[in-house]
Amino acid sequence: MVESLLFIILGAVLIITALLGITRTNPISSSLCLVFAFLSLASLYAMLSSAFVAAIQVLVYAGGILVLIIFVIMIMHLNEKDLVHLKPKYMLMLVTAVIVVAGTLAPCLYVLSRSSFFAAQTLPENFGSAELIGSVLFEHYLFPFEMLSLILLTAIVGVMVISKKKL
Amino acid sequence: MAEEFVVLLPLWIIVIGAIGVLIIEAVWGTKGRSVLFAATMAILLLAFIGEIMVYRWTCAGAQDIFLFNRVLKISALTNLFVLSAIVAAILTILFSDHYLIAHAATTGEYYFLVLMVVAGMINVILSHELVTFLVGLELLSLGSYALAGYFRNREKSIEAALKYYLPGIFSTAIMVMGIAFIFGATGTTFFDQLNQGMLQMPHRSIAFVFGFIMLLAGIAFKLTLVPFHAYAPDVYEGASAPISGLLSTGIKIAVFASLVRILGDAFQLPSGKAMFVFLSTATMAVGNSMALKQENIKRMLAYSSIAHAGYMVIALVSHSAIPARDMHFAIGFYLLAYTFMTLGSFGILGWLSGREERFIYLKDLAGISKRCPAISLALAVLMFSLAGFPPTAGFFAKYYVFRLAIVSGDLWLAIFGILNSFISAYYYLRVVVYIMMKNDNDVQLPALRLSLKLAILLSILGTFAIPFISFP
Repeated sequence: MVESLLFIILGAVLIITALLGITRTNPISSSLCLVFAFLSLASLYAMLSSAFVAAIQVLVYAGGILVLIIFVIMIMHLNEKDLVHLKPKYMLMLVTAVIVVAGTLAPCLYVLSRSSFFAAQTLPENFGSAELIGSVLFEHYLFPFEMLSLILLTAIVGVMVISKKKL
Repeated sequence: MAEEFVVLLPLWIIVIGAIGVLIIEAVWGTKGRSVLFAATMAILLLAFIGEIMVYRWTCAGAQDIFLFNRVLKISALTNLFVLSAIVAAILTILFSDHYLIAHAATTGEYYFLVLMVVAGMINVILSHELVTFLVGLELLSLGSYALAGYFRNREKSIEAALKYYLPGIFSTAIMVMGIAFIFGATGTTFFDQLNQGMLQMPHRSIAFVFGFIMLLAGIAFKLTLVPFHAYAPDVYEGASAPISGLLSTGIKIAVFASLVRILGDAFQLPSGKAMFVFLSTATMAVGNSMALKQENIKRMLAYSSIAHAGYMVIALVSHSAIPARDMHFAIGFYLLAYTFMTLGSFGILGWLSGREERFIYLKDLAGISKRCPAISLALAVLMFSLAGFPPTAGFFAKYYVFRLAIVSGDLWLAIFGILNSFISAYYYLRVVVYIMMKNDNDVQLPALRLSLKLAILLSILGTFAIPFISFP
């Protein structure tokens, strides 16, 4: 009972802050909304008994990525007149959202809820522990994990290529 | 453990070589730029030779090799696709040499990114598991986003990068969601265990189908199949010509290879046939009909690349009814033929179009045959091959694919494909007509570098020779 109540509250906070995050004109306030979205997402992970993933979510996203975003916003130093005020067509957005939800998400959820996809299961003893994640990452998925370093290198070089002014 | 290093030799050569190229750029700067092309070519040739050695070795064993806790699988099929991917990279680099010098834009980063894209392709082709597949696909995509926007002083190039990047990350997000669904439904991400996982939990098959559709949507985006093709013309038009060639050939080789692997190893969807029929017919029809009215040759080639993806999907339609060997052969052959034809045409176009790629309209081709008969003959041959005239590779590629459709009882699909080929002949032959036309426009053609001559020779040779290669 408490769990489902908590889930509803956290889910509502997540959706509302995510919506606020994409509708704010001021980049700082929209990134602050993003912090709350990340935090409620981390709490949802914790509720799914994945404490390690929750901690990583807070450290990496709420801690690292957001500082980076705010840093970039400050470097860009936007004036009030640079910020374009969006004039969203609310009716159009509503209709689109209804079509998307009704057309894709609702049948998906309906069918899934009728199958036993959401049926409760007992978790193994050390589910979500740092030890288990570490062993999966460095034993079974060693190759893709190492390839990730190449992805980061490519991303760094790619960003440098695109952002240099002179050819 | 030693096996990991020997069998993956081409990948290690390319990765280490790419970092070496970056170091050359960092240490010697502008002075080192003259050796970059030679160094990259040497790396790719070494990788090619290494792959042939691996090929002989694995074929002698006639057994699939699994590496790194079964996340990678090497078989005769994957070797063939890796070879095609390296060939595509070699052609791209050969064409790039002239292009970069003509535009005064040679940097180590360019060669590094191309090599990284190739490493991503090899990773995608070899992956035997969805997470590894995703990582490889991201490596390949990130490199190609940056390469599409490499000429950032051109508005079109920036537009191409953005139009590639934004839909690209959306498609990746959808694909990750699909992989999560598949994992939730089967409890595994290994291709050969998905079927078993499904059978153990039949009540979850609906989640599996959702996951598969999302995964297929992400793959179809990379292959420019029709509901997901809209980005392709703008991207291929805006990116520099050699890179457009790499994007339209190399990436398709890699992603088609993994799609074939997923379908072959993992599962035989009972209702999948209708989906592939729709994808192939829609892709062929839209690609060919849109190409008809293009005046810009790069856009025309982009739509032709969409249409060719449609022909290739015909081979997948009947994947459960025919021997896997035949399907692999048909697709592998088609991809190799397509690589030579498309990269060759993009490369020649990059040479003709001059600085800033201003001369890329059909009318700019008028009178080329007078001033440079050899190149115009080559371009005409490539166009005939793309249209599927015998005795070029394009004809044999289409023949093998359509024969599969007939053998498995989908005669109408083959007829639809042949009708589409007739339509496509119109816009390919239009290029030939314009080449032969008399004209007095006095555009100065750039000089022919050795690398460009080699590249054109290689693509023409490929167009004529690969029908004679016997695939094991």
